[in-house]
Amino acid sequence: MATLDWHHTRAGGVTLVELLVTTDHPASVRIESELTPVWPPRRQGVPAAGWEGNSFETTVAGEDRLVVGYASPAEPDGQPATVESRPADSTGMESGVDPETLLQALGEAKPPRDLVPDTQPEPGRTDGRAASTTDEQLSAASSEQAAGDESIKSVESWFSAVETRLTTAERLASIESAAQATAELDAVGGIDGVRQLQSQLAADRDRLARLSDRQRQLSDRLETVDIPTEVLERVA
Amino acid sequence: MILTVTAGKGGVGKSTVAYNLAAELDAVVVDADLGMADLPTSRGPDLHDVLAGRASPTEAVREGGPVKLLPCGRSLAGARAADSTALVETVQDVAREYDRVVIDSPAGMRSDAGIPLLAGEACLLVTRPARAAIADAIRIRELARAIETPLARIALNRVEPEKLDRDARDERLATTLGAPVVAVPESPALAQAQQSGQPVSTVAPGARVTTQFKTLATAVQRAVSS
Repeated sequence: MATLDWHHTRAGGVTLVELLVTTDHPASVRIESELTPVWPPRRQGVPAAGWEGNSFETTVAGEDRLVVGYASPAEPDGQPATVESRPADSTGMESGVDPETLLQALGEAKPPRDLVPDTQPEPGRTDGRAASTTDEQLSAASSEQAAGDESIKSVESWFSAVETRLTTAERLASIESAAQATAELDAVGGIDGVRQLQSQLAADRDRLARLSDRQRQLSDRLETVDIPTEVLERVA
Repeated sequence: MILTVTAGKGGVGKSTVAYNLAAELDAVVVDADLGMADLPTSRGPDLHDVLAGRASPTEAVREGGPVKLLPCGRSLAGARAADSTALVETVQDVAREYDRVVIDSPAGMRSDAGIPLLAGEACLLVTRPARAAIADAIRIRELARAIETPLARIALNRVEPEKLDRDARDERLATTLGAPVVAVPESPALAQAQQSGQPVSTVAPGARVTTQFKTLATAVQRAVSS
């Protein structure tokens, strides 16, 4: 059981808190400040060991007294802090820390799954962990495949939209009578619709020209590229 | 002997210190930076493979170079597949075979820095004469304390050569961090040696930087065996 004596003074808009903790047996104690925010003591700009946010944790030997001081801009209103204690031997980290505990306490530091590039699963994996990685890689690969399918779909739907616009434009171009013209104008939404169609077709023309340049470049490169697989096999 | 070279802050020269110290101690240096390895690698099984259970620790040790090295893979997929908790057992296996191991730990305060500290019998803290580096050194010092890995020495790295022998500064730092300080001078020879994968002792055997690494190696050895 830990007992807490406290004292505080206020000067220049800052409350200085002094705490005295005594325990009858070795204990881990946790002090929680009622005044917030807490300005903990610092060494080289870093809060002193044991401070985290508004709380301070440490261990106290049975015969020892713990003296803790900190500051806060908050006005004091009664007891400035509370203390909790538990027997010292029930601490987690201090007694027999293992890698798993550490991993849990400090957090995983692996690269996020989304960053892992798509690679072919390596052969020869035998254990469960490796198998799950292979699954991850496969799912990454299939999601990239899906993304590829998605973009092909969107290109195809753009092509059919261009085709529809072209059919309309060709119909407008082949008008022979005033009655036909009125009907066609109604179908495209009046003269504004025609103008809109015209500007869309201009945009389509530009986009197709760019695509065709790119397609030509890629085709040329595809024609000339030749991977020296045999040479690489000898080196590998 | 298993010694973890740690720093908290990146870019202070951990890998350089680890590599040169391993050269002086005739130890295997383990590149434990699973995500951003620094030390040279070559074809064959690496630490990612060992931590994923695909290779044994000793078969991944390269003995051919100037310093025996257990390299780390570069791929993100490898880093994801590696079980970082297996590092402790891995370095113990290497130490059983090669006696001395120096772990080059990654920067930061997460488990990838904590587990190498746990794996070490003692640690060497590398810092630089700069406020930010020392603040991070204090943080990693606290982590080492919580994990109960004793601090053998502090390497104050890349000190301007004319400021090398400043006892008052070293004493202040030693008091702050709780271990004696060995200053290592900034040295073009050291940078060149590291780039070409050589310890500085082979490139500039008589240089002050080389003697400081020898001093550090002797001091660390004494601290760990005592």
